[in-house]
Amino acid sequence: MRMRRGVGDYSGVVKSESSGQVSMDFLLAISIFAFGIVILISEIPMLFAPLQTVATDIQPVAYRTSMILVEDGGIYEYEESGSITSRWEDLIAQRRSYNEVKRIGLAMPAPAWSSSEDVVPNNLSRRKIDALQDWWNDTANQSKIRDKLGLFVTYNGNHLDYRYNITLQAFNGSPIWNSTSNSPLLQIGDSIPVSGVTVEKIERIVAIDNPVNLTNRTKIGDVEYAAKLVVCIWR
Amino acid sequence: MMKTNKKGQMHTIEALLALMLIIGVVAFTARSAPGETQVEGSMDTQLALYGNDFLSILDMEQPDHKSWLYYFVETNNITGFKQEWEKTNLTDKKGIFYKLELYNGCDLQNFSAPYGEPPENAVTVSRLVTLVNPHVEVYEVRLTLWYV
Repeated sequence: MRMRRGVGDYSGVVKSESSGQVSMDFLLAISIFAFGIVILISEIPMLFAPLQTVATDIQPVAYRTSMILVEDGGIYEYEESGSITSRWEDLIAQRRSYNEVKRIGLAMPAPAWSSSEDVVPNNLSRRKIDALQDWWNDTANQSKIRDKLGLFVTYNGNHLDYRYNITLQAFNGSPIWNSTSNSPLLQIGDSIPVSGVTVEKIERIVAIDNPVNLTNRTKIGDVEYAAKLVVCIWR
Repeated sequence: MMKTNKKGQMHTIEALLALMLIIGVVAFTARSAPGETQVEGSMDTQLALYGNDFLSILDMEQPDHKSWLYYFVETNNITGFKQEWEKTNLTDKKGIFYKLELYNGCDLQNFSAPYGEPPENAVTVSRLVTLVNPHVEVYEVRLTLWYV
């Protein structure tokens, strides 16, 4: 049945109103503006990258520091002959001279029967660990550790001074304790800031070759004492 | 005779153009978003270090020139690996899961996936183990790690 619509009854009728439409000019302008914003945002990291090299390189520095400590035995260069050795811990004990240490590394020297050529990566020498902790405790010379770890470098004529905190921890997160000295086995560097700076942290799983008088023993595989070396770097 | 409204056609064209512009902006924005943040890269580095270090510890050479990993491959003792892994507390404290695979050449010999299949952003590290008794056989121990 067909209904007759009365005068002024517009129900059911879609009325086209051109004034309600968004104008093409506005659409075009807002699109171009949006494109501009998007391009600007996507380019911002690249725009500031040359100025931010100092701030963005902390992670590689932490990685490098952990590699030096875990996979290298260190370098000691005899001043008189120029020959080098990785037994820096013995020579600083004999000579009390830290200047000849060119690099600090904690990997233990390879045993005679070992197929490793120089050092055993991931197996830290207790003698080197103790020597590094003693070095840190020697307040007159502790500032030299930063240089020997490669944490004081010059980039584009600017001196970059990284700060560090290096500890040996058990897998439950507590510091490994040396019951002979009643102190942490290895805990060197500055206190880690709670806020305000970016701190990069790298953890390495390591073995300690001589675990006498150490707490929190964890045996993994054939390794009698496994632990974590925690390296924190910031500026 | 049918009467057409030219103004209505224009509105349709405007709507289509606006839609195309909006889609273009959204597509461009999505494409411009960085694929991997620095934090993710840092996490991948840490995962790779955990994996390589753990395999290195298990493969620590003994005076008989063999290691725990050597006997693990020789005996195919997959369950023993989980016990050693759990000692690191990496699953309990850091939420790191693993999948272990043992390959001889290209052939999968055995595997252990106690935490299921890894996601796409998992990190895989591997270590070669050479068995010398009675024949020389090279195995690849492949460890895939990921954060939950």
